Amino acid sequence: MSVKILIVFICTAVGTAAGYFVMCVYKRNFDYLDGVCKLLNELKRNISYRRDAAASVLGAAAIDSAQLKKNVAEYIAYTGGKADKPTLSRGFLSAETYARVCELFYSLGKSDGNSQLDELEMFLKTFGDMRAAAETKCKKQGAVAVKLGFLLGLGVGILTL
Amino acid sequence: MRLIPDKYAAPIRARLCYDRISEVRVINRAPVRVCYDGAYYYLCKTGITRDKSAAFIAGEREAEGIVMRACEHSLYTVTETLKRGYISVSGGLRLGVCGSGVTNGQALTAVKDFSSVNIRLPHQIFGCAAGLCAKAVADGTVKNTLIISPPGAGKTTLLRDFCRLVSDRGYCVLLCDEKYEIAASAYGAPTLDVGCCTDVISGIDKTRVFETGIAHMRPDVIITDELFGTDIESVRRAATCGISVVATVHAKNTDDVMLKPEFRAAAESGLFMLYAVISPAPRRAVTVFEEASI
Repeated sequence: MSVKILIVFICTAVGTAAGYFVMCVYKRNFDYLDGVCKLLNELKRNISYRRDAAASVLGAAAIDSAQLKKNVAEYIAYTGGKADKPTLSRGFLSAETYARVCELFYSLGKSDGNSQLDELEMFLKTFGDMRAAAETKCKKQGAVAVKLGFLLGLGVGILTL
Repeated sequence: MRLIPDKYAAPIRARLCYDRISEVRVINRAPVRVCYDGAYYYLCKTGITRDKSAAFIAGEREAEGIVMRACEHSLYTVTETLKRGYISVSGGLRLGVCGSGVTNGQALTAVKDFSSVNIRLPHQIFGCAAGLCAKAVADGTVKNTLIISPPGAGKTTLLRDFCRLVSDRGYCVLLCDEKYEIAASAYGAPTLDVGCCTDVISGIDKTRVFETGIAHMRPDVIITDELFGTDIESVRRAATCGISVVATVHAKNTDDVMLKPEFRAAAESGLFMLYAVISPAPRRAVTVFEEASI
């Protein structure tokens, strides 16, 4: 009997873990977009007052997303080097997110203060919308994935018996 | 060296003495030139040459690349100074920049299509102003002094050392470093030695510095670079407040200075007590005149 309970428990745990994994995939996308929005706000704040170079603002910002950290490091390396364009890794980003992120990093520092602020505002709107969509997806589909994973695991466990 | 392409930096690093370079001039699609020991040469693989055919030819958008690296890929940090034709880079480097203006009616809003840059390297020569300092500092005061020289002869180097010497004697010096090239301040601290008693105001125009500095910093001496006729009134105001002013002006000699109406009036009224004339490179000798002899 205890073996049977153990099998059901293991299947349920694996199913739930799979559900959590799916939720984490949604979450890391949300974290990335949330981080970009925070960076954009930080840049806007800095350009409105101190006008430090974009690389030093980005370098000093606290970033949670590992992928965003990587992209920022790539941008900083580009500003310190002699390449014409930053080379950004795509990682888990969707084609659309990646295209927008490239657009953002390519446009940084290419115009005067007011134009740059306008551009950042535009990017903030774009990334804000993407973040809202990612947040909804993360909350709704993430929760569904965990529940489905649990039920699927439980089902598989019972069927195995 | 981080500003220029590696192929230019390599021979400079390997073959030339950094202290003897004062300028690197890059014009799109033209030979790259270097001012070495006060004379211009073409930059080539083996260092410098008089042979134009051996020189490096700058790329089509070389100037833009240098400008972008100079502003750390953030043009908005330098828009205002670009409109005045230069960029200040940390470490006291100054880039003269040429390009096309973007205007909105009468107002210049931006500069685009950069066509050439002149990278001017700062030098600190300790003790080069000792002779001038000995004549300018007397009876516990610093005489109002005007340093005269054509561009590139070493005005700023002389002024920086003068500032250091006067400051280290305990005078409260207010340094107006409008173009960040005297003290080369970065993150709130000078990167070049301008003395232990020097307050540095960077990136702010002279008129404002003279007003606020006199009111709030109580300096004994105000030191500033590149006076124009419009700045003379501020100098006069400082002098009437009992504050000494040491400044520089672009001119070949005292006769040239007297051709500028505001400076002539200043000389006639005895505003400056001492004139130091620097002869052009490579000699760079400093000749000091008392006001009475002008």
